[in-house]
Amino acid sequence: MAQPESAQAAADPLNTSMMRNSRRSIVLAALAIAVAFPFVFTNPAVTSIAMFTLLFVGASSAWNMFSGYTGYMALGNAVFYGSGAYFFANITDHLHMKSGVGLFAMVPLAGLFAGLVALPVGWLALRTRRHTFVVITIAIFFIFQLLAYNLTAITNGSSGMQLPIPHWGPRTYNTYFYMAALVVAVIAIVVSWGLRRSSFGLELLAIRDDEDRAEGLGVKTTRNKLATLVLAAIMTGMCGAVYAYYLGSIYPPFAFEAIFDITIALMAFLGGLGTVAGPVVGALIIEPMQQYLTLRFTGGGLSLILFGALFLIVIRFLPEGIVPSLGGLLRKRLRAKAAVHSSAPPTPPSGARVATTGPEVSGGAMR
Amino acid sequence: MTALLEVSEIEKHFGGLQAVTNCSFAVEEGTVTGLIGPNGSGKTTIFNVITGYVQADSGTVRIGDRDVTGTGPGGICALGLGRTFQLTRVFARLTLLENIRVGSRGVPRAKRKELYSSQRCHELLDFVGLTRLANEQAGSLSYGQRKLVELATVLAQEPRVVLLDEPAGGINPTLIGQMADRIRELNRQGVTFLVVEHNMEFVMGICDSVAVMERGSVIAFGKPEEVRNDPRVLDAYLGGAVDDELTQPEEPR
Amino acid sequence: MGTEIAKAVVDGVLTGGVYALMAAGLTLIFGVMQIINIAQGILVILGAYLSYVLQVHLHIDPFLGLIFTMPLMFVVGVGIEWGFIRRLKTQNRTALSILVTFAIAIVLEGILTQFFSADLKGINAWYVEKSLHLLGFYLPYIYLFGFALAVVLLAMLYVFLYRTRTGMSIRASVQNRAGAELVGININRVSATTFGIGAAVTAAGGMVFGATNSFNPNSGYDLISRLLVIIVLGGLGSIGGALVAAVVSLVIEDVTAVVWSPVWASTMFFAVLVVVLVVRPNGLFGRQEARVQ
Repeated sequence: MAQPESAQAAADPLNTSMMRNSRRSIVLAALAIAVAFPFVFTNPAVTSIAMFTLLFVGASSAWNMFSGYTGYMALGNAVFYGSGAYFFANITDHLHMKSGVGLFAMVPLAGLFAGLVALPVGWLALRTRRHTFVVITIAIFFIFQLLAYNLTAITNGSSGMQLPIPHWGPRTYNTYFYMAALVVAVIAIVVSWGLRRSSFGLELLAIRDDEDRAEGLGVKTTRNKLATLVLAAIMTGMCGAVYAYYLGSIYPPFAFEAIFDITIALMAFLGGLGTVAGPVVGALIIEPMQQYLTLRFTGGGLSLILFGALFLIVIRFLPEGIVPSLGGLLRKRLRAKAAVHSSAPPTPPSGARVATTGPEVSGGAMR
Repeated sequence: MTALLEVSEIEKHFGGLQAVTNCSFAVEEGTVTGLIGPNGSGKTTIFNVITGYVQADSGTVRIGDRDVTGTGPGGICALGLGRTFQLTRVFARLTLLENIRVGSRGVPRAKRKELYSSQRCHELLDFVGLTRLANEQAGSLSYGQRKLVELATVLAQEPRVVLLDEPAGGINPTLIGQMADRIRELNRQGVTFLVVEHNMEFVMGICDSVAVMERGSVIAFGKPEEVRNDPRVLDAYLGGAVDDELTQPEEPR
Repeated sequence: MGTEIAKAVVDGVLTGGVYALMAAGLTLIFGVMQIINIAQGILVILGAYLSYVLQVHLHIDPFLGLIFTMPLMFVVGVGIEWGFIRRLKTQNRTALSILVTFAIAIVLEGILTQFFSADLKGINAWYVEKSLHLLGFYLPYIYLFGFALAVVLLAMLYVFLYRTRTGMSIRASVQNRAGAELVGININRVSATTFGIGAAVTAAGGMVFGATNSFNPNSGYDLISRLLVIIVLGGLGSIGGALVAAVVSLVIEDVTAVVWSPVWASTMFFAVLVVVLVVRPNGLFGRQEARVQ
């Protein structure tokens, strides 16, 4: 029993069937562009940046899946990234695998390993409340970095580990990795989107808004948080594995990088914390920028200054992030248009929120 | 008949302050029971003890035949007991519909009804008269509207007993009347209520029995008219002086 | 072995005192403002560089130089609070504060790298090289002086907090921010002062750090991670807790280096936090985060 279209538009102009269809088309178009990209822009420097961008799309989406939805700021996801990287390095080494496309099959395994790591890490970290939680994730990160240096039997310490180098020519080398990164990124986005739409995702958002009350309403808060962290860890671990394979060698400071977590957090914040599109937008903006800055201003502190300054500007002027802010603007415009066209008074505007929740059938009796 | 909810000899202190002492009362199934008392008499504390947010020092809480003392809020909710809060709590960034859906998800029994849980959420929203705001964020609503959302969310769990902490607090008289109507309607459908309130007219209007607390214990329990004229109760509220509100005959409804 | 352990304990206590000073500032900031200042690490490094500059270019003794660097860092702290922290909206304040202060830390690191490059520097003075020969131990004077400095400053902090009006306002704000505002305490002024104090102690800590370690702008990460561990271990907001935690952690780390191996000492430092949090999720002296009203 759907409401008449105009009333539905008054409820949420970004949620009409027309809007949903255009969103679908945009997503498909973006996917097509992404797939075609490395064949159109064959310059290896460009495809390399694009590959890193996709890895960060994946990692940031994964981070947002946990921290954005539950509100628990985790600054230790590099733990999963590095675990995935080292697992990949170890397993390809132990199984004496030859380089090639087949090696990518190990990537999901690396992800699952990172998920396993997330079980004890998450159990420990989630025993604490929000403030302490952040710190303990940072502490765990440093522990893992130190373990990477010290557990030489597994990680070879600061000498690092070598991975099989594929024999693809320089023209197509990046393309394979680009595609792998694309697959991982798409998986992360799809999982993120599915989670947001599901009842499970709703419970996570309730945890974010009022955890005690959610628990009082029967939501299994600890179990939900842990499950989400494991999910995020799997995605992040896969990104780490692709990264390791691409680099061809892995060392502790690269696998467990201090600035990794703040980077993926910034991307999610810039794009829109808690939304599906947010981390994607954020990564698409920031990663190419970061790569460019690193190339242009090597050695000096200028890249750091600019990076930090960008962050501060974003938090100051766009605290909601790009996607929700744009969504709010668009919504206001459409509402104003609808008000002009129909005689019904416009409904009160709601706070800025994202239009990417699942479509709700506005049924039920009208009062 | 075993009372649906019973507390016996609950003791609870916070540091040096004895908030609740030798507190005992029972809520019969199908009734609306009021819990009144001056500020600081321990009403919210006993609420928190019953619903598991606070651990009692000693004493028992029973739901039906079951001893639930010490169970956490999640467990209490699974046993069919819901509560609202004195300072209304909603999930601010979720829509009204989503708020109610969270409520319906928590309880295992509700999961069996998942097939039509969406419809149930709309029914509840309709019951509190907020259908047209279904997709608005709960945080953008007025205080009174949020109270209704909070109530609807608790109802989504199909509780046997609902504990209301000052349902008439901070809202306009029209809405108070509507709140009372809804409680009566739900009670007719079989839901038991325990209501903490300061608004005497509200309490006298909907409660079958009233418990009066003072300084941590229940000093009187009975029908509203009995309690209203009980000298111990008058003493507790007024320290001996006469008060218009309590002794004046009830205004015709 | 026994003497080595004893020496490790002494070393741990001495360095722990200095860390305690820096951690006290950090935990005080959290207690008053409910924010976690990730920039504390790089501020220590900034303090180290300031002392270094004074010593190398103006030949001012590092301890004396504190007369300049501490007020200067106080102003820096106030500036940061006023410019960035104050504007943070109350919702999600702690999480945002982490990101904001992290960003500030990155900017500061960049600025320091531009000015000083990534070369390792160190602060030198006669007491850095020489040691006191006492009861069979060789105790570097810098450790002793640094510890004494920490004790003096912490005592001053105590007097300030417990014997002055501003200090009382600060303590009131820690216990109940809203309540403090209601009784007329200027929460902005209190916040700025607290942040200033937090930064001023990093000047002192930075000087000692710079004299006992070689440092460059990148040293901030390790420092802040340690300080964070200390304040969480001690219980967020508890200065006494930070003191105990600092000394305990450093002693354990130094003893581990002797008893087990230096390689695992740093790992043990972080592992202690993990172990304690399993048993006491709020740290050693932390307050139980209140549940519902």
